[in-house]
Formats: sequence, structure tokens, C-alpha cells
Amino acid sequence: MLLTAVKPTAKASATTPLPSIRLDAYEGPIDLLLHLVRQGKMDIFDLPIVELCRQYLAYLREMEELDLNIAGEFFVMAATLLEIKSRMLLPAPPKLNSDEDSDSEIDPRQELVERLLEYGKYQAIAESLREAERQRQMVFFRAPTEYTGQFRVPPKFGQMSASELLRALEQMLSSVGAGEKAITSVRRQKITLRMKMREVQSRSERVGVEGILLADLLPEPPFALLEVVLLFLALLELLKGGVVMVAQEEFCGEIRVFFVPEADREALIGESVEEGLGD
Amino acid sequence: MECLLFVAGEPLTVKELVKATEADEAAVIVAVHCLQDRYRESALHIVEIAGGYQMATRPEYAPAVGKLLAPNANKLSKPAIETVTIIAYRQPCTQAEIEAIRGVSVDGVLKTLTERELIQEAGRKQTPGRPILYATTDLFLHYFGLANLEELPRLDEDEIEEQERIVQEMAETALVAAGVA
Repeated sequence: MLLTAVKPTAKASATTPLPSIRLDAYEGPIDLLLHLVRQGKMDIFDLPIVELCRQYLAYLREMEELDLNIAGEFFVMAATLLEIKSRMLLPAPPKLNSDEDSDSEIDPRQELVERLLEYGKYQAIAESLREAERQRQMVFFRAPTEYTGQFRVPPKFGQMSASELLRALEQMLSSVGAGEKAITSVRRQKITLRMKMREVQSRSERVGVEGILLADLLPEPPFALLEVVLLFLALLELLKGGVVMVAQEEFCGEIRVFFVPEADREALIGESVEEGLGD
Repeated sequence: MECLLFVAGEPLTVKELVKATEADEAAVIVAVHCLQDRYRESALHIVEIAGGYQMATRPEYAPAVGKLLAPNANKLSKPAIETVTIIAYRQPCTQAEIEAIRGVSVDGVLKTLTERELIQEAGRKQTPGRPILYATTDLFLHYFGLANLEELPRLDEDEIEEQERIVQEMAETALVAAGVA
């Protein structure tokens, strides 16, 4: 949020005057809280939640008075603070049995403290990256020139223009299409995606760790164009299932297809599932 | 070697240098170090950046170069630099993970960072909704003058230990306090 505003001088506050705050400095409720904690020199490991809550709400009220749009996140944080405050004021619920001891003794502020600490950590690193940015901008590089004549700068990965891709496709199709069977009669196709997948899998498995060239997987003429299409679909399916891997040594280079043994495959899938559950 | 670095105009990896010089990896690295030594007296130097080597001007000449070039205020904003920091340390990570840390929406920031090619999509997380995962790019390393991700600043190990100790103490005090109550 980018708010630029000045605190009104005539503030009808009967109690303590609010600290003057630059509104555009805060990136979000956590940022604001961290600022309040630091400004008030509060002990982050023993947060004076009542005081923090008071200051935070005062700040929100001020924003309201200035008729600013307050982002929803600020209200969520206000609610969280109030909840922590009330939980700390209320006596702990009577213990039902001794097993619950550890649960009931968790400090209600703990989660908030952890969030503040983590955010503070990233803020500190961001500061040092800011310095790295400044340092780096003191250094200048040459941009590559467009060379003409015998050589040119090769295209970067992901920067291939549509026309260049089209040319590559045309080239491939023209060499592949040369062997296409002339259609003399229409018959039921004898080849299915499943068959093609099996073929790719067994052929890449046979060559082992070396991997097989994509070009070698292309059907030999005479063939139906459908076979090329199916080969491509089969590769995509196998890749999705983690059965094969493809690798390219260099940009515009040869593409190799590698078979992934079942054990590794499960490990890979297991990893991603674990990652998912970890959240 | 000097010639290759001059022509490339971008960081050259050891692999690329090996390919062009047809020398082996060890020889290439030795040659780069020799070249760096030779440049000691020069206004240029060879820096290790974004996974490769590149020819660059020395920082002490920045004021002079600055006078030649037009000014361009294009620094990253505070939200942008904080967001890219979180991504750099936790990559690949989702938008929700970043927002949990920063406590605000990072929608627009992610878009800006993607446009500046400092971050890129790195697949999808295998959780409900299959959220997009973000990771930093080589340009990110180049932007901050880092040779690789290991060069990212670290939190002081002692500081982390100190924090852990305090958290531990806090928990113990809480236990004692609860016992008294």
C-alpha cells in the first residue's frame, strides 16, 4: 500500500498523544507491528500485548480518521491481537487430565512472535540485498552486439521468436514428412497411444543410462504421420508419469530420452507428496 | 579467453569456455584466474557472476560512467526486494507461503518481479489447487551481483543459536509461571 499522508495536528486525543507515524512506510500489519515493537523497545520474547494492542488499534483508528482505505489484512491482525489479549487475560481453562498439560501451557503470543521474528529475519536480509543491489549497480557491463556476417549470437533459452520456432518445425516436418505413406485406402489405425508409450519405455529402458536420442525414436519410413503425433503424445504422458526424463546438453542441441527406474520414480513422487503435506 | 569474454557480453560459464577453447576445465579455470590477475591494473575486471564470468568496469569508476549515461531510477521497491528475498531463500515456494510471511498480498509484486525476469514459475505444487511455485532466475543473481545462490547473505549462526536459546528459556519460564498459577 502506498499511502502518503500527514498526521493531523489537531488530534482530539485525551489520553497519551500518538507517536507520529509515516503511513507510507508500512507494507502490512506485520511490518507495522515490528515497527511498533522496535520503536517502543519492547521485548519481543515477552511482548507487552496490552500495550502493543493499544498502539496498533490507535494506529488503525488514525488511519480511519484520515479516511484511508485500510487493507483487510490490518483488521485481521487487529482481531488476532485482541484474541491473544483476551486469552492472556482469562484464566487458563481447568485441566481435564494431566495429558493436556503441555497443550494448555503454550503461550498464546508464541505464533505471533514466531511470525514477527521470521519477518524480521527476511527484512534484515532484504536490507543486505539492497546493499548488494547498490554495489552491483556501480559496475557496468557490455551488452552483446548484434553481429553480422559469418556469425550471430545464438538465441537464448526461452527467447526463441515464434518465426524461428515455426522454421524449426517446418524443417522437422519436411524431413519427417518425406517418408510418409501415401494414403491409398482408409483403414482402422493399428497403433494406439498405449502401444507407443510401451515402445518408448522399453526402448529407453534397453539403452540404459546413456539415454536414447529423440531422433532415433522417430518412426522409420514409410509410416503414417499419426505415428509421429502419437510418439509426441506418448512422450508427454511418460514425462508426466515420471517414467522418462528428457535432457538437452545445450540449446538447440540433441534431445535425449532417459528411462527412470521405478524405485527412483517413487522416490520422486514421494518427495513431492511429502512437500505437499509439509504445509 | 579474454577475447571470448569480450565478445560474449554476458556471463560465460566454465562449460561454455571449455567448449570454445577446447581446453579442459581445470585449464580454463586457471586461465580465468590468470586473466583476473592481469586485469589488476586495468579499469576493467573479470567478475564471477550468475554462474559464469563476465567482463565489467571497476566500481570505482562508477561516478565517471554515471556522467556519461542518462540517469535511470529503477531500483526495486521495498515490497519487491522483500518478496524476492523470501523467494530466494525458500524457493520453490508459492504465493500463499510468501503472503504468510509478509502478511500482505503479493499479487502485484510477483507480476512486477516476473516482468523484470527476476523470478520465474517453477512448476506447480502437488497440493489442492496446484498452486504455482516461484523460483529466482539467473538474472536475479546478476541483478544482485551474486555468483550463485550460496552467496546469499546468511544470518549469523550465533545469532540463530542465541534466538533458539531465548525461545527455549521463554518456554521454560512459561512452564514455571503456569505451575505457580
